[in-house]
Formats: sequence, C-alpha cells, structure tokens
Amino acid sequence: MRTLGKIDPSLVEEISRKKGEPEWMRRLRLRALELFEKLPDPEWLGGLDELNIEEMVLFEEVDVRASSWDELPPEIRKFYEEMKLPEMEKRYLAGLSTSFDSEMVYTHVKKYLEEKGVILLPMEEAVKRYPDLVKRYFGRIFPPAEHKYAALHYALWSGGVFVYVPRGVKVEFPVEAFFLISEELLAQFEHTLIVLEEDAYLHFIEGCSSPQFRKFSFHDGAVEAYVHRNAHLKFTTVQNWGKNIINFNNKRAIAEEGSTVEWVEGSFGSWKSYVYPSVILREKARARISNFSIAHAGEWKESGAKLFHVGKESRSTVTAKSISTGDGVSVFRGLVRMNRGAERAFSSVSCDSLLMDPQSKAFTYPHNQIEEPSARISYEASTSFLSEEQMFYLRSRGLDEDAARALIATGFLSDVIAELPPEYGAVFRRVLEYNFRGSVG
Amino acid sequence: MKKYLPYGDSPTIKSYTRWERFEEALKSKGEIRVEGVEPSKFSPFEDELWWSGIHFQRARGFRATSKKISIRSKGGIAFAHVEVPLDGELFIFEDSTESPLSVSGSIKGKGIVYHVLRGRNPHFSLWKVEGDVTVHTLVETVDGFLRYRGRGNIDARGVSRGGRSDVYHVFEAERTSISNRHLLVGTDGSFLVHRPLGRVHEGGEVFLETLLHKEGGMVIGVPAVEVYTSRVKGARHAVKDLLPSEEQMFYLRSRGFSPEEARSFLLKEVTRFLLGKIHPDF
Amino acid sequence: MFYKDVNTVNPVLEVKDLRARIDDKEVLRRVKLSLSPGEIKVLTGPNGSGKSTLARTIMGDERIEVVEGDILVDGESVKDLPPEERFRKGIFLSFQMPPEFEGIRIGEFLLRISGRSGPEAIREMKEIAKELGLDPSILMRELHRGLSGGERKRVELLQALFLKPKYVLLDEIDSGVDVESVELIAKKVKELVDGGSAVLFITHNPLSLKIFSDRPVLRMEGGRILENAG
Repeated sequence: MRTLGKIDPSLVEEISRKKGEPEWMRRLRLRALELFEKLPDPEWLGGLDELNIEEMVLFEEVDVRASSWDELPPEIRKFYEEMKLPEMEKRYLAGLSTSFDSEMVYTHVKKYLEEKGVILLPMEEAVKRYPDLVKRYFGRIFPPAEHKYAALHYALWSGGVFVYVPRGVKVEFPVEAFFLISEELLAQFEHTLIVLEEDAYLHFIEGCSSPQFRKFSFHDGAVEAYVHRNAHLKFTTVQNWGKNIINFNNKRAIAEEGSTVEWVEGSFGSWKSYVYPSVILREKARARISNFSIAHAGEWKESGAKLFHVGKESRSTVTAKSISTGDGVSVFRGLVRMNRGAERAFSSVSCDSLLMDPQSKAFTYPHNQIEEPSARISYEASTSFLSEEQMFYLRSRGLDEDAARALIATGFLSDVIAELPPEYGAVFRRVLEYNFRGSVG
Repeated sequence: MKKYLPYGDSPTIKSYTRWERFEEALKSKGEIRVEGVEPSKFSPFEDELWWSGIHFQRARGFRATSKKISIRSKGGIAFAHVEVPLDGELFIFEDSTESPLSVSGSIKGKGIVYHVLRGRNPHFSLWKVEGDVTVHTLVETVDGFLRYRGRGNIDARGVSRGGRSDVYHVFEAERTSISNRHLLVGTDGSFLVHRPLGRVHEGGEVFLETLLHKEGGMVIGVPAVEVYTSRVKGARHAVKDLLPSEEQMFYLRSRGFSPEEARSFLLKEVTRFLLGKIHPDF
Repeated sequence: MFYKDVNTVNPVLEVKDLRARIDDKEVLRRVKLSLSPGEIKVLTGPNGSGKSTLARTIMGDERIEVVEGDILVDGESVKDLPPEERFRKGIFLSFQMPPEFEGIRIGEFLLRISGRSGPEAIREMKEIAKELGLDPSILMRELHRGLSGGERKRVELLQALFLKPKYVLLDEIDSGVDVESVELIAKKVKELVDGGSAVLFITHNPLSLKIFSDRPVLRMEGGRILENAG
C-alpha cells in the first residue's frame, strides 16, 4: 500500500496554534510528523492500494460550544436526534460528549460525576487544564512510532475525550461520546485518553455515525487507556460509519496488576476498516476483547486483537465474529504474545466467520508467539457458511429469504451482541435486520 | 488482491534464522551426495522466494529410483532437485550436518512420505506436493527453512524439535481435503515457527493445527486460512498447548498417571502419532 | 494391579458423611454410601443433584474441596490421595463427558494404563470392542476425538471391561444411546459384577432403572442422598 501526498509542517503548527496548545504538545505533533515521513508504508494493510492524504481536508474549525441540548444549532441537533441520543442520555448515560466534525461542541457533565471528581472533557481542554496528568499518559500507551498511520494521527489529532476516574470511584452508568464526520473529504483524528486510578470502574461507550457522501473520508483515531491496579474499564464501540469511510483506529490499554480491561467492538459501517484493540497485561491482569463486524459487498473489514502478556498469571479472552455478504471480505488479524516471565499466563482466542454468499470471503491471520514455557495458549477458528439446507428449513417455517438471512446472522452474533448495553443490543438487532432486508450484501 | 500477508509484528525468516549464515553459506562451494536417485533433467517450478532463484540456477536434477532417498552435502553448499513419483511408501532424508544444503523437489502421486530434515548448517528445502499424500515430517535443523506447497488430498503431520526452523506450507484445497498438524517442541535457545496457510476454494476443506510443547526457547504458531467462497466444506484452524487441560489432567490421573507421567506420555504418544514410522529411530 | 483382590478380608468402598464444596458453593451434604464387590447400586436423581460431583469427588477431582467426612477403600482412607493413587487402589470412573486427546490412540492408551502388552492383550481389546458393537479399528482412533456421544460412552465402558477394576463408577454411561445399547450396557455391567467388581451405576434412563429395579436405588437431591427410596 502507498501513501500519497505530503503534510506540510506549517499545517501542523497551525493546528496547534489554533488550539492554543502548550509547547510540549506542539513538539509532540512535529516529532510525530517526522516519524510519519520516515516510517514505511505498512505492508500488512490489505485491501488498500493507496491513500492520498493531501486530498483530504484535514482540519475544520467549528465555533459552537454548548452545555445543554437546547443551545445547539438546529441542524446539529437534528443529527443527534436521528440517533435518538437525548432519550438515551436522559435514561441511561452519566455524561455525554459529542463532536461535530473535528471539535467537541457539546459537553455535558452530570452533577454527581463532578462531585465524585470524575473529569470528562474535550481532549484539547484537558491538555490545557490538566497538563501534568495528560502528559503522563498521552502518546505513551499507543506510541506514534508504532506504525506510519499512528504517527500521522499524533501529528494531526483533533477532538476526542479525556476521562479521568479517581481512586476507588465507580461510575455506575456508562459514559458516552459520539463522533461525526459530516463533510466530504474530511479526515477525523480524534484522540481519546482514559485514565482509571486504582480500584476505579468505568464503562465508556464510543459511538460513531456519519451520513453518506460521494468521495472518501478517512478516519484515523486513537484510544489510549491506562488502567491502574485493580481498576476495571469496559470500552464499547459502536461503529456505523458511512459506506465511503476508510477507518483506522489505534486502540491500546495498559492493564496494571489485577486490573480488568474489556474492549467490545461492533463494526457495521465503513468501506474499509482496520481496528485491532490491544492490551498489555501485567501481573494477574485480565483482558476481554469481543469483536463483531460485517463486510458487505465491496467492503474490506479487518478486525482483531493484539495481546501482550507481560505479567504472571495474566489472562485474556478474545471472541471475534465476522460476517461477509456479497463479495465482502472479513479479515481477522490477531497477535498473542507471551513474554518470558509471563508465568502461567493464559490466552484463549476464538474466531468465527460466517460467509453468506458464494463470493464472500474470510481471511484469518493469527499470530501466536510464546517465549514462556508455563504460559498457555488456546486458539481456535472456524468458518461457517449459509447452507441451502438451513435456508430451506427456515423458509419452510414461513420466513422469506431476507428474514431467514437476518435470523441466521443475528443468531451467529448473538453472544457478542449480548455484551453490548441493552440499548445498543436492541438497536443492533434492528440494524442487522435492516442490513439484510431487500439487499444481498 | 494480495495473497498471504505477514502481520506487522511477525519475525520473518530474515530476522531470526541468522540470515547472514545463509548468505555466508552461499560463498562456499560443495558437492551433493545423493542416494536412491538417478540424474535427470528437470524444470524448476516457480517460487517467489529469492533463494529459489539462486537454487534453481545451481541445482542438479535427479529422479527418485528407490524407496529411500538421501541427500547430503560436503565441503560447502550444494543444491539438488528431486522428482519423486509416489506410489506407496517413501523415505526422504536431508542432512546438513556436514555442510549447508539446499534441496527442492516435487512429490506427485499417492502414498505416504516420511521426510526427515536434520543438520546444523543452513538448510533450505522446498517441496511441491500433489495427489493423495500423507507426509510425516521431522525437522531437527539449526537454521532450517522448509516449505511445502501443494494441492490434492494432503495429510501433513510433523514435529519440529529444537534448533531453529521455519516450517511453512501453502496448501490449496479445491474439492479436496487438507489437514496439517504440526508439533513444535521448544528447548532452551530454540526458535521454532510453524506457518501453514490453507487456501480454501469451492468444495474444499482445510484443518490446520499447531501444537506447542515448550521447555524453553520461542515457539510461534501462525496457522492462516483464506476462504474464498461460502461454498466450502469446512475451514478450521487452531493453536494448542500439548500441556493437558485441567480436565484432561484429571482424566489421565484417574487412569493412574502422575502429573509428570501424564505430560511425558502425551508428548511421546503425540510425537509417535505425528511421525509414524520415523519415530522409533529418532 | 488391583483386580479381583483375594487378600482383602472385607473389601468395601465407603463414603462417610461427606461434605464438599466447589468455590463457596456446597455441593455434597453429608453423603453416605458403601459399595462392595458383587454389588450394583443405582444412583439416580435430577440434573444438578450432585451425582457426577459425588463420583468425581470419590475419584479425587482437585477442584472439589472435601470439607468433612472421609472416603475409604478397604478400610484405608484415600481422602488425601491424588487421583492416580486412587486408581491404583481400585477406583475407576467412567466420565460423563470424557475430554478429547489428540494423537493418543485408544489401543495404545489401554495398553499403557493396564500395564499389559503383547498380542494377547490386543486380541482381548478387540474382542471387547466387538462385543460392545464397536469396530476394532476404533482402537487406532484418537481417544474420544471425533467420536459420537454413544461411541465415547462405549470407549469408557471398554476401558472398564478391559481393566476389570474393583470399584467401578459409571457416570451416565447409558445416556444418549439407543434401547439396544442400554440393554447391552446392562448386560456388560452384570458381567463385570459377576467377575468380582462393584458398580455404582449413575443414571436417569428409565429403561436402565427398570432393568436394575431389583437392586438398591439411591436417590440424590440437592447434594444429599435421600433416605432409602427403593
């Protein structure tokens, strides 16, 4: 795959200036830009021949800030109302941050969170208000040098959320953030940083949606999470980007001793997607990654998990399910690495793909590297396919073809959907059915 | 569409088998010692590895004439290509104990092949397999690179034991059934890789498995599967520890094995199962 | 090994006031049981009542913690012995859901656990397989791998018939099999017992219950054996 176009350092300087960033952040961006120039194109990126960075509009300034629904301009409110956010927010969520294009325009922090000392801010504000706290973690969990597009992300990042949960605080309701790409050729590079102090608990939901556009849009976001001892983070992503989006997301968590990290990832949309949530596990840490994705006709969807077991008795579980329809391609890339010293660590990966049409494809590339004799790995993958027998059976029970396909797909994904908050679970079932109704992929 | 893509992090053959040893080896010049074959012309099969370009330029061609073929080198690196028409049982011994070795070959037909690779010099081995073939492979090389390519009904079983080796298969299953089970026995200082790739087309069926037994060293299992259509019979792959699970351990202990005995019994029996007739001697 | 042992004066497997826990959950509540060579005792009860747990506790499953009570074989406590020792003392458990073993051939496994070898032993194995309605080629197959439920049960029974252990615990050996198989299993169980073994027959198959209606029936519920119901 080839990267076309260049980013001028002056663009990066401009972004930093407009945001009024401190010096250290400006320098971080410029260093990342250098890395972007130096690093080679990732050869493991399948399905993408070239990416023209210059063609994308990189930064858009939007001048709206609000702290309640009524203050939002009507067209922006309309987007959110389509997603049914206000109801969800009232009933279910503790705090809500939403973004319109590259800036956080709406922040709402409920009173009891403030009282508990939980910080929920747009990332740019956090950089200015809590520099020491942010500096300690920003770019250290998922480093810019990891790959070329991680470097690009750090050079151009804009938007995203900072969440900080103090020691011992358990946030009962999920916290959610919504990201939106609205203009053609707009790239999104939001950066979310979550820090949980010892014994804290947080469930964070990242939802994404964008209307359809003709040309391409490119999304290269990142999520970094630092989970201190015995804390517990659950991070749920519901991705329903439009059919023209190329989606990268760089996600990593560091799980300290005895902590738990859960990544739940549901991917419906986008044209091409590359998301591999990852966790570094220290002693007795636990990680659970549940993914599901659908590749419709013409799409290339990659998902996976990268687990680095560094500490003794750490445990990880991965459940990955994918569906391919039409000539869609689902790809699983996994890495489980057991470093020497990760005594009695254990990892269990289970990966299943469902192929619904003759031209559907599924590729799986697991990597298991073990350096520790007492560490154990279990990796299993299988492929299922829609059979004529199944279709005949369901149809003989009164379901038409689309309903039968939807039923089989839902059944296949049911245990991963069960991980989602009930609200999302219901939405997903509806989206799944919609996906199969009246269309073959 | 690109074919098999290594994952970003994966160590490639160049990074771990001390590739400089292979490059050094190329400077030496040795002679090939073969048994069980007669000289013959051959057309090298296409292979995109750069080493195979060098190999096919220098290899002497042979054809198998007996049930036991042995290939060694002396005095430096030597190259040989062997055509093996298979009908029944056959043993192939490749030995790089004395000096580096580069071998290629083509197995075609029906039967069982016992393939042993050993030696402490750089060892390169490329085989094409076609037909209804069961292969039992034992790899005990230091800096060995073995690659099978094939189509047909193939049951490939093997063990890599100690040293450094990269065992790489690319099998295509189209209306045929491919099964590959390979055990990596890691000892201190060893570096073992098993990377089968199964491509499944219409009517095909693939099962790939890497089994791990580690006393030390690094073991890497990368069984990859590419399914090109929904009209396949099946595609499964797995990486598993030979270490018994809790339930398996309870079962074995309730049949009289102590934990130690259970582990060594498993290793011995599984090795025997994978190596077939190779096992007793080695 | 430990087959029909003629030296013991009073051979008996006794479970005395056994209380056991898995994690924090109590699973066996003061269970009392005795089993002597020549006897068949039937253990029945609803799912989750603790029948399998009892069998596994007798065998020595380390995940089950014995909190109180004892398990004695021929007067000797085995409560602190690991499973392999209990096997050597004569206890055999046929698993309800036996785990699969890659690369371990059934025939090889039988030779190993019995300590026997040679053509005579192999011939005997094959005969027992045939008597159980199994093709002798099954001995070349991997232990429980890819076998149907019915085949797995029969492979467990094959082991018992080949080893002829003193105290045989059969955990639902008759579940998921057809009528003819249930009758065949019952026949083989009687043969085992006539040969000097003791059998604890765990079941909830109505046909088996009918066949063994003349034997003592122990009913289990909620981890307890109810007072004589049969």
